[in-house]
Amino acid sequence: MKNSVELDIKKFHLQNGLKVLILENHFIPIVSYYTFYKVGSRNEIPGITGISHLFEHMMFKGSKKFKNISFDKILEPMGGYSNAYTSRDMTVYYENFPPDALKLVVELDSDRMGNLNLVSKELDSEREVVKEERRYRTENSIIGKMDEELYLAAYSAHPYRFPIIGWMSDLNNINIDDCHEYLETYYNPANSCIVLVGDFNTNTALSLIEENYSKIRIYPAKRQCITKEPTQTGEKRVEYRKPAEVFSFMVGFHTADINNPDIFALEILRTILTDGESSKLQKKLIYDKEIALSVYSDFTWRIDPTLFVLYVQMKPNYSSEEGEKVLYDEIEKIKEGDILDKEIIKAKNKIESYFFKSIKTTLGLGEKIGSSEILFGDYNFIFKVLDEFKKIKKDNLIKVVNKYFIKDNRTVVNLVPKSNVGS
Amino acid sequence: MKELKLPEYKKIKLDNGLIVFLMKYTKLPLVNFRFIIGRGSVYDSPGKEGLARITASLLKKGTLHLNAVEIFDEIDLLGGEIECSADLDYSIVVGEFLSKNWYKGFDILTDIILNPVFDAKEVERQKKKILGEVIARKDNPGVVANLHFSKFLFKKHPYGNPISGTESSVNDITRSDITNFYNKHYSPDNSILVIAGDFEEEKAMNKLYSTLSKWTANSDKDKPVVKLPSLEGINILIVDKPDLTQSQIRLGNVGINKNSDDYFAVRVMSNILGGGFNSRLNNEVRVKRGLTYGITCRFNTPLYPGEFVISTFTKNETILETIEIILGEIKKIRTKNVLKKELEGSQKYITGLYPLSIETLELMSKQLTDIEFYELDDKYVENYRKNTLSVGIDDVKYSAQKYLQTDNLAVVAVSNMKEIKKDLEKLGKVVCKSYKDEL
Repeated sequence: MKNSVELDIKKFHLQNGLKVLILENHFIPIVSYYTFYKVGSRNEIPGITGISHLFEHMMFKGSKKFKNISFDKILEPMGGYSNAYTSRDMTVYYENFPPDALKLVVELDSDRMGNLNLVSKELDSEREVVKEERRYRTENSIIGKMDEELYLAAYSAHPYRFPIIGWMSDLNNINIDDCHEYLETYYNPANSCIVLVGDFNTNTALSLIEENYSKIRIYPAKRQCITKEPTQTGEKRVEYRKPAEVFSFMVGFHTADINNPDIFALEILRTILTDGESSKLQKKLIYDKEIALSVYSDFTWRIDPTLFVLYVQMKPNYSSEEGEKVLYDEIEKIKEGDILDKEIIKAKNKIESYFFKSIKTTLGLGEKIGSSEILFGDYNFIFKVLDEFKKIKKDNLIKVVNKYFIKDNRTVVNLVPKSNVGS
Repeated sequence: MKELKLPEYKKIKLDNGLIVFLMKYTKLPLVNFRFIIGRGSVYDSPGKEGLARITASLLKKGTLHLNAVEIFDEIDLLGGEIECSADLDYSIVVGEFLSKNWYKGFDILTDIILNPVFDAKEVERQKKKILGEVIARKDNPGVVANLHFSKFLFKKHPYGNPISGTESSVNDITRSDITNFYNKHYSPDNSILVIAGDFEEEKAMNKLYSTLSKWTANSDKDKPVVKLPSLEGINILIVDKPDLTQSQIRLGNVGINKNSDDYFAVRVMSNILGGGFNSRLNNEVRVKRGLTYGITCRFNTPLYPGEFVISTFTKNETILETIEIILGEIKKIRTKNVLKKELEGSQKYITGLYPLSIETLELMSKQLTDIEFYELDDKYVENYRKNTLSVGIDDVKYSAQKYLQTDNLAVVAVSNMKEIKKDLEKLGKVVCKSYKDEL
C-alpha cells in the first residue's frame, strides 16, 4: 500500500529484536539519528517518579568504551549536537551531525545502549540538575504547575497522573540500584528502535549498525503497565493559588487511546476549537468578547487514554468563571450541531499544513517515523493519517463531543491570583 | 567539506526600490513569504514605545477590501499562516501556505501590506490586548529578566525599550500615531520580499508588477540617533518577586553588530564560553556542580551593537556561587589562550551544524533578507564555514578582551530579594525594584 506521502523508508530487524528504520536523502549534509525506547513516566511507580527522565540524563554520562567522558564532549568536536526528551510513553535520544561523524555516533549510541556506565557520583550531580529543571519548569512556572495539577487530579489510578519530571522527594531518593533495575527492565534492544534520516549511504549505515548493535544482550521482558484508569464519575476542580497578574484555567477531558479511531475526529475538533484567529474559541474569547489573552489546546496521542486539554489565559480583571462559561457554551453548541462545513475544511487544511511543516527537517522526519513505529507499531502509519482525517465528517465530530465533552468527565484547574483571593 | 549554498534564486529590484527574491525549491508542497520593512522598534518615538509592533499587528485587522474577521477567516481556510510583528531593526510580515493555496495567500499578504485601514475599533481592541499581554508577561520570570536586562544595560538607547512597549506607552499610543508610523516608514525602498518554495514564478512576477510595483516610495531617510551606553563597575539590579525559589540571572554588556569585522571571532569565542553542551560555562556550572539546568552565552547582532548576555537560573541559595563561577570563566578566557584542541572542536561544531541554518524555507528566506538588510557579502552562506575556520587562538583572546569585561558589567537577577541581596552586595552596587514596577 502506498503512503499518502511517498518516502522510501527501509526497515530492518536485528537478531536481538532491535528495529532499524532508514531514510536516505541528500538535501543537506546532515544526518539525524534517533534512538527511541518505549518507556516513559507511564512505567513509573511512587517512590521513583521521575526516574525515566533522570535516567535519560544518565545516558549522557559515559559508557564502557567511552568511560568518564560525557557524550557531548566526544560528539560536539566532531560537529554534532545531541539531546533527548522523556514523555509519558517514550524516551527519545537524538543527534544531528555531519556525515563523517556517522561511525562515531553509531559507536557512541550502541555503547550506551549496551554498556552504560552508571556511577553514583554522576547520579548525585545530575539529580541536582534535574531538581533545577523541576524548579524551572514547574515550581516557578505557572503553566507548568497547572499542567502538573491537572494530570494529578484527572487521573486517580493510572500513572499518567505522575509528573514526568518526578516529585522532588523522589528525585532526592532515587539511587544507583534503582537505575540499574530500570536499565535492565526497559533498556532492551527489543524495546527500542533506531531511526536514521539524511545524508549517508544506506548499506554503509546498516553495516555499521549491525556490527555495533548485534551483540547487545537481551534482558528478560519488561514489566508492563497494567493499571487502567477507572471512569471518572464527576467533575473535579482544583484551585491553585499563586501570586499572578491574570487569571487562567486549564480543562481536561479523558478521551481515547491510540488504537481508538476517535483520535482523528478529536484532532479535527481541537483544531476547530483553538487553532487560528478564526477558530471558535479564539474568535469568541479573544476577538468578540475580548476577555482572554490566549487560548491553547493539547491533544497528544498516547498508548493509554489521553487527556484533551484546553487552556485559557484571561485578560487582566476578568475571572476564569467568565471564560469557562464561554468555553462550555461553545461545546454545548457543537453538541447540537453548530459546526460549519467551512470549519471542517479549515481544520483539514490546517492539519495538512502541520503535517508538511513537521517533516521539513531531517530531525522532524526522524521523529515522525520513530514515534509512529513505537506508538502504532507501524512506521508508515503516520504518513497515512492524512487519509484518515479526510474521512472525518460532521457527524463524527458531533459524536465525539457528546461522548467525551461532558461535565462528569471534566477536570478543571483554576489559577487564583493570590492578591485577588477573597476579593 | 562539501560545498554549501542556497538554492538558485532571482533578485529583482522594482522601480520603486522594493527588492524581491524568488527562490524556487520543491522539496515539500509549501511556499514561504518573508516581507521586511526596514523600520523597527528603534523608530518608536519616546513615550510611544510599542508603536512599531502595534502598527504591524494591525495590518491584519482590516484593509480596503477585507475586514479583520474576513482576513483571519480566509487565512485559516487556506490552512495558512500570516504573522505580523516588529523587531528592533525592522517590521516583518511572514507567511506560509500550502502550494495549492500559495497565490491566494500572496494576495492577502500584499493586500494587508499595501491597504491597511487601521479601523478605530480595531486599534482600540488591539491596544487593550497588547496592554493585557504587557501586564501578563510579569508572570513569567524569564521574560521579566530579559526585559529588565535590556533596559538596565541600554538605558535610553532604543534597544533598551521593550518591543511591545510598557503599560503607559501603549496606553498613550493613538490611531494617528499608528497611521503616521505606517505612512512615514512603510515604503518599498526600505523593504525586502522573499518568496521561496514550490510556486509558479510567472504568476509571482505578474502579481508583483500588477500590485507591489505600484506602491509609491516615500520613506523618511532619517536614521535614529543611537548613543551607546557606557557602563562603569558591576551594576546589579534585583527585580524582586518574592514567591520565586529560583533566581533568573542575566549578565553581560554591549557586544557587536551583524556587520562587525569581529563577528566570526566572537561567534567562536562565545561558543567556547557558552555555546554547546560542551562549553566552559555549561561544564563548570551544570556538569561539574549541578547548579543549573541550562546556561548560555549569546551575542545578539542587530544593525547597531546589540547585547552580549549570559543567561542562566539557579536556586536562590546558590546565586552568588553561580555568578562567581561565571565571572571566573570570563576572566579566564580573557587572560589565557584557549587550547588548540578546544578551538578546533568549537569550529567543527559550528561548521558541522551550519547546514541546519538553511534547512527549511523560512531559514533560507531569513538568510536572504539578512544578507540584503545587513549588507552582508552575497556569498555569506557559502563562506560562513570558511570564515569560521579562519579564526585563530589570538582572535579568540582579542575578542574576549574587547567584548567581555569582568569590571564593567550589568547583572540582573529576578528573585526573592530578601534571600539574595546580601550575597549580591558582595559583588557590586545593587539597586532593587519590584517586578510590578514599570521598566
